[in-house]
Amino acid sequence: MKNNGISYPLRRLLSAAASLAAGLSAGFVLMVFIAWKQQGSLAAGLSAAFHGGLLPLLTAGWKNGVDSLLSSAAAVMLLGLSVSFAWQGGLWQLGGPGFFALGALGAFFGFSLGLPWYVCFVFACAAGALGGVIPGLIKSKGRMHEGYATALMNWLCLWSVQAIGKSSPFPEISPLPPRWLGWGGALALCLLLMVFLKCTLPGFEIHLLGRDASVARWAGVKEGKKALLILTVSGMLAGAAGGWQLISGQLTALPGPAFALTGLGLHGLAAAALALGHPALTCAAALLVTLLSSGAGALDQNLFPPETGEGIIALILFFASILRVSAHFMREGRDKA
Amino acid sequence: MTFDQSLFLYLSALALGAQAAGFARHGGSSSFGLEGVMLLGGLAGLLFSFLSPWLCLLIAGCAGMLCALPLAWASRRHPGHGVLTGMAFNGFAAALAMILARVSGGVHYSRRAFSLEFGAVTLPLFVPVTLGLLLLSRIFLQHTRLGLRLRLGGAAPEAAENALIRPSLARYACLLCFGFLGGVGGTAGLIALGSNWTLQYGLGGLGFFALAAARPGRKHPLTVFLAVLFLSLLCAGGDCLSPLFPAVPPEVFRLLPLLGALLCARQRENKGN
Repeated sequence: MKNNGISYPLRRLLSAAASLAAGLSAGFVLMVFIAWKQQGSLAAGLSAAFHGGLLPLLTAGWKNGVDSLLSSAAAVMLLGLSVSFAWQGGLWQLGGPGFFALGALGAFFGFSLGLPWYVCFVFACAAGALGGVIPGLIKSKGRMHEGYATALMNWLCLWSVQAIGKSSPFPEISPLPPRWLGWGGALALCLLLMVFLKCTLPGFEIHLLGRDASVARWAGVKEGKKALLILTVSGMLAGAAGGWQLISGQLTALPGPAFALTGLGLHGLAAAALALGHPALTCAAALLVTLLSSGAGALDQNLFPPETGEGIIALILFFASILRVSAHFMREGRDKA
Repeated sequence: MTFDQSLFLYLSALALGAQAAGFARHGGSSSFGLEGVMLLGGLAGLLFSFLSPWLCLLIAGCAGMLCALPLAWASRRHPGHGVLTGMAFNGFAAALAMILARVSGGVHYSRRAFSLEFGAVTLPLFVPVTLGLLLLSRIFLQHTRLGLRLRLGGAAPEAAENALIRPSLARYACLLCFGFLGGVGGTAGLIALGSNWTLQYGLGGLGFFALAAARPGRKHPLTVFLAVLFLSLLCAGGDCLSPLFPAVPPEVFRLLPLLGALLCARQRENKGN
């Protein structure tokens, strides 16, 4: 189980740490640039970027307490799981924010009808799954790359949800469900996904498709049907994230196209990339990403624009996509050998 | 903005984006980061709009090349995983664009500066620029020795190495061309979207439209042009129809090119199969 003297789990851990360090270092350079521009001198910029930027980014997330951190992380966990599940089947699901918005719309519709929160949550999951069915069908019938299909679907859902959200009043959400239910549910879903992937035949087929599609085809796995299943479940998980955000009172308006490239969708993608698509590690990485995004809220507002945190998380994702994938393929090379 | 001006601007943005995606494909790399490259390149060009418009376009192209460098580096390491790096870059570009716009006090430009006047006829500057760049790209890729080497480096890296061509250099060169065209196209895209456009939305998916348009045209440039024309008509038509129907939310008109892009990207695969 060793490659170049380093075991695979250690290699995963090292490359995750390296991508975090590289992302944070590049983010610090970005903060120094912004602070330098505002302060006028490099020395003042460096000091401001450290005391008003890097320190609060790394420490402020802890100050709100573990319960608050876990509550905020629930949606990121679910979004990360939606990407990770597709990743396990060898598919790229880039429509997380769009399905998230559809899920929020489903819950919004339920509340508008005066239904209780748990029925609204079912509506949210159904709406997300419905969003996932469309790229799933396109992938299975039309054979378009799922990346294009989900990315275009992302924009389509976000513009549609914004159009509906503008013309309808936001409903009153009460009573709120207990906060622990969000992260508890996400962890339970993670466990369920792991059992499904490890212990059931469809799960094994999905896993096989992700590892080697040609072998899966040779073994008689129906690729089109599995793609439909993967993207539907993935959409459902992202929809559940949107529904939960709305039900738990963390959304004050329906999400729009501003979510397309940054925001929770990006956080979910970053969590999945850091965890290399492993469901349990995705939940852990989601906590880390939420910690950073909470810290980003405590940056010195006079110096750093609110988008600075998003830029840093995107940088971490960028480095994670290079370094983590690198570790993954080293393992594949070893397995094939 | 009149319909024809809007159409020309969208046509330029999408045609240059599609050609950029073509360069990335020739280099054997994924072009999912096109949206981000177009956004940052275009923004850099417009931030220097107080200079001559030609210089603006040059700056936009150079900024696009600079943005394409990390993508080229990533694709050299793992050519099969450009999807994730591309999406990461798009997220970073959207955040950086908002930061740059805030730090520099907003984006101010005059659309008139990017127009050419021939008597009573006003034509966007991007029309001759796009035609010139597309023609140059075509001649460069198909009819020069260097173009052939670049294509070989992307299509068959092992064969290229036998012919003493370094595939990684070919990939870098292709992605630099990708960045230049994407940056110039991004300037046209931002001007087409108008001064009221919020950078929070990035380019509103224009990069993905260009990718969708580039997909049907693998076999022939005419099919790319037809797809680009179709999507530009939907974009410009949506923009011009929106004020005529105040009762309909403007977002509904934004859905038209998205549906068109889904149709375009799907057609190619069906033909291919």
